[in-house]
Amino acid sequence: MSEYEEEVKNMSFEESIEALENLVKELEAGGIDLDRSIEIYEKAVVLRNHCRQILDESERKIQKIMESSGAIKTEDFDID
Amino acid sequence: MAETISVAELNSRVKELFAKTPALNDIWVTGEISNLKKYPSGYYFVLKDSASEIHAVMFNSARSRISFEPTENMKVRVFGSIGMFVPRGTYQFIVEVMEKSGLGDRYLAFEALKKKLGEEGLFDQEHKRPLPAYPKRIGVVTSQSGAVIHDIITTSASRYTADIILAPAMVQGEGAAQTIVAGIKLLNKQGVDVIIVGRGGGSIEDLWPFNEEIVARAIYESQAPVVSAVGHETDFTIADFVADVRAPTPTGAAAIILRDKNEIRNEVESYVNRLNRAMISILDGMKHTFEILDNKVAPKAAIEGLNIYRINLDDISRRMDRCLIDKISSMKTDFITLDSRLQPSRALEEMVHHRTMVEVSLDKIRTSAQQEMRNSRMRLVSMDGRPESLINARMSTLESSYESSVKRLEGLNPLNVLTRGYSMITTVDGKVLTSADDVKVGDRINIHMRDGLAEADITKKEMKR
Repeated sequence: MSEYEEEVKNMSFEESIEALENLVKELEAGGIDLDRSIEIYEKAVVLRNHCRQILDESERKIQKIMESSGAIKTEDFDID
Repeated sequence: MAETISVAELNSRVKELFAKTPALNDIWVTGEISNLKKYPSGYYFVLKDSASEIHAVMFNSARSRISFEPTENMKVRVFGSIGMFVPRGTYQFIVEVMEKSGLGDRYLAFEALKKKLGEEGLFDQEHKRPLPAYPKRIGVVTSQSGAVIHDIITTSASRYTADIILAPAMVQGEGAAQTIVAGIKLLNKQGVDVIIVGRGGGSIEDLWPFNEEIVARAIYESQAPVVSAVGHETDFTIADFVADVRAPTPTGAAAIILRDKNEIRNEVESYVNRLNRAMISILDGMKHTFEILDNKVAPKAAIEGLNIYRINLDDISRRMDRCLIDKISSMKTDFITLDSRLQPSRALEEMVHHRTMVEVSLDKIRTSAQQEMRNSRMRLVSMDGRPESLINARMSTLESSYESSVKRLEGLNPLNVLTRGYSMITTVDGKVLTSADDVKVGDRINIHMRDGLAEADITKKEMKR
């Protein structure tokens, strides 16, 4: 499972929630053995935690971008 | 000598001069309405621009020719002539036709461009790109000092986290369209997931850059999907038609692009809930399958056999208990018989000893019986059949081993030893004699036999060598 945790770390939020949805659908469809069910469950928990982490911990940047004579300049932008 | 005229004459001459001057008659004038007053005869107002002003009047005859109601600050284009009001010596513009300023030309330009771009397919639904569900970078093309960027930054703060990259642009006036186009291109070059193009509310002139063809084409050619947020909800610009999504306001644009964080959290949890339900249902299903299999492996006959076996075991157990109790009480009686002749404490010791041995044996039998029962049960479940014969065989083994145990117990009863012809010798005060050393010639001894006691004197003694 730690291998899967490593894999999930590099997944975007969109990929994670899509993977989570697919696992839930597979489990809901049934017809799978107990081992696979438990694997799905464990993977889903990893994905859920990853999603939560992205939601709770990400911070945004607010920037201003300008181009003058072909050079692009980026600087932090503050509304106040 | 110069003539002298009256004031009325003077004003009449001015009036005549105005009337004869083509530059002051049947002309179009643009300006803004102010100080508007409505009288039964018509509208009186001041027509002004940033540099100057003039009194104007629109009589009822002219008023009936326009479809709108003139309002304060309205920008208008009026057709008419200068007229002189002789009694007061004032002049004013007499309005014969009034139209909303710019509307005619702008309206025509707007409609023409809309038609042209529409025919080219720029507004077609099939060109509309879906917005990313969870964008990481949002580009914004707008004024860096206006309320738009402020509203977007504020609104998105509580929503899904995304970077905001502002490409500052002029949003009204000459050259504004060019800066908007440059902003869209710059953000595409820089790589963003979605672009908001917008400005706050304003007059139709203020919004005009968003009706220009170069802006429409830049939106159409943008790699990143574009959300337009121009003016108020009631304002529609060409940019709105080309954009992938039209937002009613800049705040609305942020809300359309970024989902509410709590809403996403709830969605994530709803997946977990569905997962739990599915897992429970799978486990229930498995339990059910096991029950079916269990019934197949252990059919009714086996269960019945097992029940009979259990009843028999109980019966054996009861019989064993009763038998042992009988045996013990019989021994007890025997010991009581002996008691009068033997030392009481000694007899009690013997009895306790025997009893312990009996109990140990009984425990062993029980344990072994229980183990056998477990083994048999397992065998029954796995073998699916012939429980009866197995039970019977096991039961006879059990019974014979039980009987031999009982026989062994009986062998330990000292009375039985006496029955077999042996006797027990004690001193007259009941001390059991086991060695010739303990007696000497002349001692009196008691000889205990199966059914009685004899008294004797030692007449001779010989030690084994």
